[in-house]
Amino acid sequence: MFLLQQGWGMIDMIRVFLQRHPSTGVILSPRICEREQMEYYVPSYSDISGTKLLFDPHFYEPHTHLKRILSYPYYQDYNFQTQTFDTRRFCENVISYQTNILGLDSIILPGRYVNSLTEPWLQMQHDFAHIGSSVDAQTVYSTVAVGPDVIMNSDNFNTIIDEVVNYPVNGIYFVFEHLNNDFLLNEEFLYIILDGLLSIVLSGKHVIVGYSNQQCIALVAAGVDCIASGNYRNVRAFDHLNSTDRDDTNLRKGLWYFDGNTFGEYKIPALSLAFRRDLKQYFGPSTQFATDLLESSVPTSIVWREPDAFRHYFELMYQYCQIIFAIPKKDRAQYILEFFKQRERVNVVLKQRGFTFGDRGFDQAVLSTISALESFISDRKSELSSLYCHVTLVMTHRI
Amino acid sequence: MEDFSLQKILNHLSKVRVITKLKDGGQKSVFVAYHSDFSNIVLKVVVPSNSDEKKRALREINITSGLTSNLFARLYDFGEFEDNGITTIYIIEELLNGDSLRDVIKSYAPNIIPISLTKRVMDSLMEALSITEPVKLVHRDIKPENVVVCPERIVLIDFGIARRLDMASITDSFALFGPMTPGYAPPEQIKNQKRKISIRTDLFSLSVMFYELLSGSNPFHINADSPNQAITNTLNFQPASLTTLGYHPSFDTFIFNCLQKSCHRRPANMTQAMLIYNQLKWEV
Repeated sequence: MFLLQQGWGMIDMIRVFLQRHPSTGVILSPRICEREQMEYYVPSYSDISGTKLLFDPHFYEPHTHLKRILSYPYYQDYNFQTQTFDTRRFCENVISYQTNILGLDSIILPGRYVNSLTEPWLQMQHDFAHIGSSVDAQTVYSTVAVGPDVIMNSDNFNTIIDEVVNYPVNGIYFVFEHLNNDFLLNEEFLYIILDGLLSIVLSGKHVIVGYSNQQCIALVAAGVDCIASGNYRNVRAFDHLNSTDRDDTNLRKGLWYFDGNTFGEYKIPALSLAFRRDLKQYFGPSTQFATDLLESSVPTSIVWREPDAFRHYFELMYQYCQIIFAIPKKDRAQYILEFFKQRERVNVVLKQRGFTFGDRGFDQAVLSTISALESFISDRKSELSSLYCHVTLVMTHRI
Repeated sequence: MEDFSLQKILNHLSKVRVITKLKDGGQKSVFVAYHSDFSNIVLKVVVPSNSDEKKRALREINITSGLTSNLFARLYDFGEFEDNGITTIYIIEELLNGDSLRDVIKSYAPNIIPISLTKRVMDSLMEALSITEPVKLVHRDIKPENVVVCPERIVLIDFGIARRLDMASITDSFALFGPMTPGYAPPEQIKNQKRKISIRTDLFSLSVMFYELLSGSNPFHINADSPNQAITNTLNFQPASLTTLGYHPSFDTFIFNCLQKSCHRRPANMTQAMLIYNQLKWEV
């Protein structure tokens, strides 16, 4: 399933998207939405039948001073000091806000971001999961927010996954921070993520990968159930500093066209130049939000705005996810590998024709993605083949 | 256990007559006895030295009483009583008509036990774990000494250090090593990482034992002249492939899946483990 990850200015976009695709959903953010707005709009989203609504409590950086996050009631009387912090009370307040105020069927438990593994972090995660296990909700998701250092340290990452698979909850909301690029260019890093996610899936948990971009479609090969993506770059890649008051207005600038065939994003002038050089046939596919752009000979002459760009991206991601998630889990990995190989072929041709991919091209990331997928499929073939029949462990909640 | 304590126990248990002492280990003694209702039985008597010990003993009883399959020793009766401030716990269990798997292995030495017996043992223990998994019981001490081979059945015994996963653990979480048997315990048990203990812990120990039955040697006892060396082997070394001994590769697939150092890489549950186990080519 494809979910929206709430970013700046998405309130109306969310409603339109959910009305168009009610079988999807959205992960709402206290960082984006004032509390009053959240409580005003959630009922209107809930009215759309079949939609999945989730609320990310944003506990990644407990020392946050971000007023918008701190305005939420579960942060009242909040004083995070490791020794005196009342884990139970805080977790219960987070749960209560989601169930009693927002009226959500499924909840996301708080989770701190970790980039250097400690026993207190492990214990806190464990405690949150145990507190959440007694909640009567459709799905209770533990948040697992991990950074690059802990991911690349085998012992630490294995320890985290070893414990996560034993959490007494029926869902995991997984967010990971990687290095500076939009895309993962390090195939080892991507392999490690795939490997860990597969173990979590095999333990019977419903897995959502948040803050995804198009490359995260590769993670569906590990059997994850949902990926969530948003409009701006800061909701297409997880950054724990987004929970602080760091100014991110610069991240939001620029109009980019997302291309499904190459999986890259390009500024309109670059697209226009490509069309002028008879490369138009390689770009697409179109959606109702990009028809004029892609049918034009001169894209720069078309009025195409940021909301169109976002809606086009969401629509394509939704379509790809619909196709991929319809494939039996045990067959998805191979399909996804071929999916990325198709993108590689188009990227190769464009490169041969002298196309410049720019900052958000997928030409390098596609190679690392394919490499990681091939290694992952080879190493965990037998578990992947068992994905269709793995039995959900006895849980305290219905899924 | 001192004789006068035993006498007090027997005074309390009027239907029991002790025949032979089997084991005497500190706070726990085990006897073969005669019970007027149940005929020959095993009488276990535990004098806990503190409240933690009492909890541990009662936990064993609580766990065993819920296991009604003949893959486990039947629990007939249990209770506790106090005398002069000392609490004594007694457990009356079925007396099994069989030998420990360890004794059976020794009886065949230097040869390995017949493959048909190995299959019988493994089929039974896989089924036993399929019963304990849904109730979140982890045995934590699967080894040949805790398996009894009877003519008509195989029995998994001694849940002495087992725990229900939904009860708080009562051993010291900060102990360097947890309670375990070197050579059979997986890394998470060695390192006393309680949050990681699950059915995968038992699958590891079971697979060590399986490897031992097939090869004649515990893979982590090879070149180990001390328990510490066995622990080091468990944490760092991978056993040799069983194909070198002529076994079908399916045996490697099952055993090495279950012997993964990281527990998240082992089969997640007994359903997944059985899928791999049922692909073993015993006849080859």
